[in-house]
Amino acid sequence: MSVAHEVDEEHEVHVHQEPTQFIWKYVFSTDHKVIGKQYYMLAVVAVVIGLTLSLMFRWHLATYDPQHMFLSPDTYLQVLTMHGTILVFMVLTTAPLGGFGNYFLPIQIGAVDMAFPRLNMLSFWLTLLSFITLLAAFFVPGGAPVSGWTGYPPLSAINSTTEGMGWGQTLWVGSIAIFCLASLVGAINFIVTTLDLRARGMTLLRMPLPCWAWFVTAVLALLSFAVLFAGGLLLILDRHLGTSFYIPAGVIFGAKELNHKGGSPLLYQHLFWFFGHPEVYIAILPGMGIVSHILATFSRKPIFGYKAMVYAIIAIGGIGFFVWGHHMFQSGMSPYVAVAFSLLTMTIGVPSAIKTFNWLGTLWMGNITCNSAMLFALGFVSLFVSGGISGIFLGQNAVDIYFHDTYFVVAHFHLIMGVAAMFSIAAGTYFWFPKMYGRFMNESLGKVHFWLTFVGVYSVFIPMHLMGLWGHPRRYSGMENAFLSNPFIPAMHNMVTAAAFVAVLAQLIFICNFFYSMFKGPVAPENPWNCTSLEWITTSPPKFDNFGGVEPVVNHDPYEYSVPGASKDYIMQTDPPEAAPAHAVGHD
Amino acid sequence: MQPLLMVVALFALVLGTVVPFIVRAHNMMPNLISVHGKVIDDQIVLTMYITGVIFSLAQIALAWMIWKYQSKGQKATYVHGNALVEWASIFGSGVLFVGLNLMGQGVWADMHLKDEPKGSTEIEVNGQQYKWYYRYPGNDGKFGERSPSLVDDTSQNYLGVDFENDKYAKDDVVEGTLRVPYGRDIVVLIRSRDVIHSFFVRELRVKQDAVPGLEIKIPFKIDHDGMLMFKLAGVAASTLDAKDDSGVNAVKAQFEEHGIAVDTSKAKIKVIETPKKRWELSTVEVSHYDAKKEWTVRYSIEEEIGELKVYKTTYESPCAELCGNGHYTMRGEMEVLSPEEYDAWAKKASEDAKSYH
Repeated sequence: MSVAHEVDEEHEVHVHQEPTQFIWKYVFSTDHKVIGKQYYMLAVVAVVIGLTLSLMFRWHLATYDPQHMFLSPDTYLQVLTMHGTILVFMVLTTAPLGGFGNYFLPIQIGAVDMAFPRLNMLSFWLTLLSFITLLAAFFVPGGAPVSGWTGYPPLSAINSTTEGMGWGQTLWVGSIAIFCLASLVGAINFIVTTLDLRARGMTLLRMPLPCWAWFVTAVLALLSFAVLFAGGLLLILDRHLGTSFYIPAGVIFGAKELNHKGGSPLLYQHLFWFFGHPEVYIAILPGMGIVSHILATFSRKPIFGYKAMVYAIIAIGGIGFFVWGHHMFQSGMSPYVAVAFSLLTMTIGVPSAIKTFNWLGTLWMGNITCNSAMLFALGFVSLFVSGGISGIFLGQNAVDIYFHDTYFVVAHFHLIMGVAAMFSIAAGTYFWFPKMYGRFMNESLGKVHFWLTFVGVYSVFIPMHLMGLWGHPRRYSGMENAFLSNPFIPAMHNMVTAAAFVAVLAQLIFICNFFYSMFKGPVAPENPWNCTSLEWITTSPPKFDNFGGVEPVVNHDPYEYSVPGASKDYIMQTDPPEAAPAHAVGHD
Repeated sequence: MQPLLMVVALFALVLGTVVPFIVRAHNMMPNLISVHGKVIDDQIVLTMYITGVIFSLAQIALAWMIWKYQSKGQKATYVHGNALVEWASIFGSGVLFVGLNLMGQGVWADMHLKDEPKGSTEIEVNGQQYKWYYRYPGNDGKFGERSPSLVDDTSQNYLGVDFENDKYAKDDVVEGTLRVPYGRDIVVLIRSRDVIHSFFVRELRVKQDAVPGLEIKIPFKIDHDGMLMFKLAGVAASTLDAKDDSGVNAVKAQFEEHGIAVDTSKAKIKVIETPKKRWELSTVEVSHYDAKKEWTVRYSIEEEIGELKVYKTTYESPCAELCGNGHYTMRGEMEVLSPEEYDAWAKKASEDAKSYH
């Protein structure tokens, strides 16, 4: 690959011919913009399925009656397992990185496409294959697995452990393995693209924050999915080829001793969480980047502490690899290691605090417009704080003794990883929709969507913290016991379920708005938000080669808003150097 | 309009969260009965206060920014950051979070890193789909050998104890209920024979995964010094203030009415308010431990008004790690006995077991 800034002015930007046939243009496309939309649509389908599943088990819990269960205990856990797996892998990993990352990374850095367009296509189609494989688990004998999205062995390693642990579990592992390959291929592509294809003048510290977030996320994906792939492979070997990586001697099923020995169930947990913790940041880092971008744009202010934000992204990504043990404090691993993991976990609070400070600093003395994109970005900041705070409890090994595997944990990771990430996806959608489709989404519907979602999700997850304090264990499909049948718990379940229905059904407004606006929304100009980054110098939607044959040259930092003495309140990154008065070219 | 709504929403969030979490932090968790649990609870409450302040400040600051700097056509101020603020947030959050964490390491060390106290009562806790079995070493004080090959559910040898050949095994007691004496050091040896389970007793503040292939020791001690717990109905919540004698006297009067004397002079009284009125009216549970006597009263107003029944104190031990379809049914029971009662029960159970084998 030729390095972008070696290309001289006259050099033709290398462009593949735009395909004309439908199938090559819209289906088996190598255009990063089409692939980005494909990822996004995959995530939309997945989120509809995943949230429908959540309504099923919420309904089950709210209407619980031992004589007339809405879901059988098997089905409950199958629905729960698939809800978690679909949302973590097929939504939170695909939409922010595969969707927005694919579409906007090349454009924001001034490239015509990703570094390896065919690999890019491969990575999408592998992801789709993985999704189909996962859904197929519903339809095989025995049905989907019941072992949760974490799939701990020996439960997941032995077919006979319980109903639903046959082919469903194998398809689940297979799906995860395929997803790992897709993510690895995608990660390499993102890393190379960021390092090699930046336009002239686009130094690393001039990249908009989403680019930094996608880049660091890709590094995380490269390092973590490889380990999950290995972990999944060993699980398949244990399941089908009689190996004993995860199964120790003396395990008894069906009243007889299994022919396994020497394995360790904790090995799987280490491999899984070595992936699983960075996965949290894979889901949330792009969101942080997107939200930073939107906060600056609609506050008309430079990012407060741009460099600190970059270093915080890198620090969160880096430390994220040394804290996986906090998922395992009560797992039976060495309690000495737990002390180290716990202390390291707390240090992640430091870059997280910097991010929060700097988001608030970005709003400070700004000129804030609360449109749908901005509302979701502001909601993200609120949710990030709320979800992060409960992490201070769970990161302490001693406190985690009580909270581990209760609803407190469920509330924590849903707020920070699920809901906050979803808010960033929504914010990104309202923000970039005009660029992607050349039309605006409806603002009023956007605001209704925001308020129902914002109030809804808090009403779901704040009460869950209380249920966790009360000691309600996770993944319980029934409540016929003295403790959980106290009217307090069913009342909370009812309230949470009602709120969940509101929050989930509000997404229908979003989906309707999305598809309606795609065809009927008001036509958007090139740069409707007066934003500074490179995607806004090209047409909406961008042409096949992104910049219409012009190679952008970058002269400015990414968030030059409200520069004193400048002719307008923003300076595009590609504006000529003299657009900014000399004294104002700022470095913090 | 939108900035105003944001301000209202964020203030509602702070109030709605902080009121239950901070103001009532000390009585939102189930009764505490273990010694080490006091440290854990204190750490939880301290964390609640610290995070509660951070949470409130951050949400209110967000609301304030949105309100104060909403667009009224003003020009934003061109600021790139402030090194002092950055470094202050780095050091401030670092010292606070790591310091808070270090404060909790003492109790972790007590539970996991130190040798168990000499003379501890050892009890085996065994998980299997979907039941807990508990083994006591019997009068010889030693656990007998066990082997997976001896497991035989039809003859109820769920743990594979070698009752046939091992003399130490013959008096071992295997039961479906966990019985523990208060006031003594106890060590549970946690094991599983199939998948991963987790031994959890809310009131003990103990949770530990049961992992096949591993035996994990957890020590605890049930506190009995001046612990008097009330879950009381019929007395208005407002009169139940532990700091106020009138509340205590009201409680006392309730029980004296039923011919039960309550000595509150030495005991520290802990009142657990129930969060829902209906439930408050359904049961009364009073447990009183002291060196001489121990009793529990459970009182159901809905069912039998005015009648008091005397029970032993039992606590639930729900499995806390997903172990299969029956996970939610896997609930053990822990019964707290006085040391004398425990000794008497253990002696007899062991003799019975020996004569059976």
